[in-house]
Parts: sequence; C-alpha cells; structure tokens
Amino acid sequence: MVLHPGLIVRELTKTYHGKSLPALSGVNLEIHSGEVFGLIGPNGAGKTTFLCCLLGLLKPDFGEILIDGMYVDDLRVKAQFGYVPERLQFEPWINGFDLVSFHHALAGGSRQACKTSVELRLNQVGLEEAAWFKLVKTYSRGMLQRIALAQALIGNPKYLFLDEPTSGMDPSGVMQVRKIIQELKDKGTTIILNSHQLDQVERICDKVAFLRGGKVQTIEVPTVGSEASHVIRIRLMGEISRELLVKVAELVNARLVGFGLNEAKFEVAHDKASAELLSALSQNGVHFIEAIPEQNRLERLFFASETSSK
Amino acid sequence: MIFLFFYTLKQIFHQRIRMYIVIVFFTYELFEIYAEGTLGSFTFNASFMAIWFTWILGAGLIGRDVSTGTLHLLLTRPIIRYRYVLVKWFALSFLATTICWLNFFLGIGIIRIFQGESIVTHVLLGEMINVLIYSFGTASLVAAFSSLLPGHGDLGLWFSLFLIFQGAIQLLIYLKIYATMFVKVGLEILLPGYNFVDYNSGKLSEILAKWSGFDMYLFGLAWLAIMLVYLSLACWALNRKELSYGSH
Repeated sequence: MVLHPGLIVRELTKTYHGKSLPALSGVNLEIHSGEVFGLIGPNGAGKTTFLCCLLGLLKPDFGEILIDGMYVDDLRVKAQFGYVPERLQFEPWINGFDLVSFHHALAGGSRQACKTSVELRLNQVGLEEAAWFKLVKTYSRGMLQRIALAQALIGNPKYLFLDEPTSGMDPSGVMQVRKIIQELKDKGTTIILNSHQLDQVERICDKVAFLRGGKVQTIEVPTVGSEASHVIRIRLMGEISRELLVKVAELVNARLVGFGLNEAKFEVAHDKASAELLSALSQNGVHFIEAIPEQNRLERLFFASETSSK
Repeated sequence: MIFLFFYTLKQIFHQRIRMYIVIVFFTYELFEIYAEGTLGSFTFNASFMAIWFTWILGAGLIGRDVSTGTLHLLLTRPIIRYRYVLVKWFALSFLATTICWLNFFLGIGIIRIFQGESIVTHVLLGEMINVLIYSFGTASLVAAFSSLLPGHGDLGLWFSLFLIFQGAIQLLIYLKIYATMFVKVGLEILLPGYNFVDYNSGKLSEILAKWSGFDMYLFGLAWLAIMLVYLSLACWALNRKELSYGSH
C-alpha cells in the first residue's frame, strides 16, 4: 500500500503568553494517511501543545499545519477529527449515552442515525449497557476513558487523536483499546497517539516521534532493527553452566552481564547481534523458554536521551 | 445548532443552587403582587428582574465551559466559535425572557383574580418588550464578560465595574457636577436596556408624547449597538483563547 502524507507540519512554533521558552520550536513532521503515529517525550516536552495545535485549539506563532491539503481551521477538516483528551472533564449531570449523542450531533450526524450510532460506539468500547444511562460523574476512571473513546469514534473520524487513552484502564480495557486501534488502522484511520506507556506505543505505532524541549529529537520506526546496544534477558530451560554462557557470548561479541537461577542477561551491540546470540545459544545446546529485552526500544531511547540531557 | 441550544438550557437547569435562587425571586415577586396589589411597583420589578434572572442563570455562561474543559472538546468538532457564542447568548436570553414573562403573567393573573383590576394593553405589551430588551441586552454583556474571564469571573467583573461607576456618580454629585449623559451612558453600558420606557407612567398618548420618535429610535439603536459590541467582544475573546490541556 502506498502511503501519502495526510498531515504535514512545517516549522511549527508556539510560545505561550508570558513564557520565555517556546513550547514548540520549529517542529517538522509528516504523518501518512492510515499511519499510527506515536508521540513520546518527558513531561513538558510539548506533546499536548502539539496535539492542541493539530486540533486547532491553539494557534501557532509560526509555521503551518496542513491536513489533506487544508488548514486545521477548515470545518471540513474538523469534521474528520476524533479526540480523546488527557484530562477527562465532562458535565457531571450528563449520562454516558447523552454525552455520546451530543457529540454525534456536534459531528454533524443525523437524528435518525443517532441511537444506532451511539449504541454501536458504546458497544465497541466495551462499556457495559447498565452504565450507559448512569451519570458520568459516577463513572470510574476506566469507564470515563471508554466513554471518551466512544465520543471520539463518533462520526467515523479519519484522524483520531488520542492523548493517554489507556491511562487508568484495567488490562482488558487496554487490550480492547489496542484492538480498536488495530481495527481502525486496518480501515485506514490515521491515529496520533500521545502516551507515556512506551510498551504500548512500541506495539501499536508505525512511527514514533520523540519530543524534548519543544523539538522533535528523533523519529523511530519500531519495526526496523535498532542499532543501539541493549540488554536481553533469557529464561533458560534446565541447568546451564555460567562458563558455557560466557563462551557462547564471546562467539558473537556479546557479554554476559547477569546470571541467576534459570536466567541470564546478555549485553548485545544491536538487534542483529541479539539474533546471532539466540542462534548461537541454540546451536550450543542452550535451550531457553523466552528472550525479552530488559528495556524495550523506546524505553532505551527515552532513557538514553534523559542521560544525555543531564 | 439546536442541540447546542438545548444543551445550554440543560447546563443551566442542572445548576441547582441557581434554580433555587430563581424560584425564590420568582415566588417573592408573586407574593409582593398579592400583598401590594399595585401594578406600579410590579411592572417596574418585572422588567428589572430580567437583569437579575439573566445574571443568576447565566453567570459563567462561557467561562465555565472553559474552566471545566467542556469547550476544548466541543471545539474539536466542526463548529464555528462565533456560532457557539451566539447560541449560548440566545439560549440564556430565551430562558431569562421566558421565566420573566411567566412571572409577569402569573402576577397579572393574581391581580385580576384577587384585586379585580384590569390590565391596560399597552402596559402589558410594553412590559413584555422591556423584559425582552433587558434579557437580551444583559445576556450579551454576560457573554462578553464570560468570554474574557474563566469560571464566574464575569459576575465579579460586572459587580466591580458597577461599584466603580456608582462611586464615580457619588463623586460627581459631591463635586456638584451633574453629568446626566455620563450616568445614562454608563447605565446603558452596564445595564443594557436600562433607559427603558415606563409604560405604567400614564396613558399611552402621554408616554409617547414624552418620547419623541427620534428618542425612541436613538434608544433602540443604542441598545442594538451595545449588544452588537458585546457579542463581537465575546467572539473576539473566544477566538483568541488558548485552549490547551498542556502543563504550561
């Protein structure tokens, strides 16, 4: 499938009134249609400001944002948006069903299709039917996340902006969100995901931008092999001697950095080296149950950046 | 935008303390009619009450949406900001006018039933128009101040300006400066529609004689102009608003 940039950001700069440092400084990005694009970075990096600029809630001081060749202020663009905010605040008197119905109307949905559309979305996010007509002020954090996602999905948005969508959700909720994102991706929805849950971002996103100090430091493609050194943890099957593991590691220029009961940790230079290590272990009669990186790729990127900034 | 109109009405109705206050004022007014039985004080109160009802119901009309974050989510939808302002303003004006008219008609009913007094048509119609002028004018002021300040800061701003204005009048009186125009303009700005016609001050021909046609038009234009300025101010302020959930 050939992807073309649906969302283009050029030299985006934003400084809040009364602040000397810019929240965003010359951000350049291209997000292709149908892509799941992740935004990561420390607190105050400018991720939410960036999302708010994309949504047209904030006016940049400089630069431009084009979505399908149109500016974000264009109502035709806004009609294609769905948004889950980080801070969920709804009117306390409204119930879940009415809230989603209200957003159905705001999104330009017809009155006739309202009930069907709302029920579809509420079922899709897994909100129990018993909770539909309860006041949102009685909802748990997880239920609020679900209702927020339901209102965002109203109107079949072409662009879905998710700001910490799984925060406060139980594991089944997290899995459900992941499933919904995958389904939407398959349908060609472009998803911009801002999250601190790096393992989630790595699993879901096609591309991930790392923001720091209002700038894009790097854009990672999680599916492409990493060139950075890292530690992998291997759960061994049966008793294996330390000496054997050291010997095998040396064969592939890896280093044994930890050894315990049925577990060993190796430092490898890059992803290719970890594949070589696993192959060498197998060939030398070392049987293992699983091999997982000590830190996932985005965590490594995150902490490497933290360390370098200090 | 009809759904936003009803949403605003629901927002107002669900602020229980305000509704209690409105009910208290509403009932007080009816008791007063019954006790005094005079139309004079009642008609004056009926239109003047429109100001209080509008403020009680509408304080924080837009500012509250900004503070609660409702507006952020709303504006990610295909909605033009000025339309949002106009719908909010209209919903508040409509509600305040309806409540005042209801109060007015119930009062008239009480007078007819208990005092047997008949109501002069021009007083009835005139007072209904006055209520409308007050409600729509005050609602435009609420919309403007509410767009400028978050939460219920609009009420604080209005009250402060009113006190300053009253202080200025006191000072002018003390200095023996009788600035009638200053007072009239000030009142029109802070209480749009204040310089209303008192339809209960005599026969219709006498009232109209006091008001030359030119004065009527001037008053109407001033009221419209002030309302337009306030609504433009509301749209301008909302357009410039930085709406972010960020940690800035």
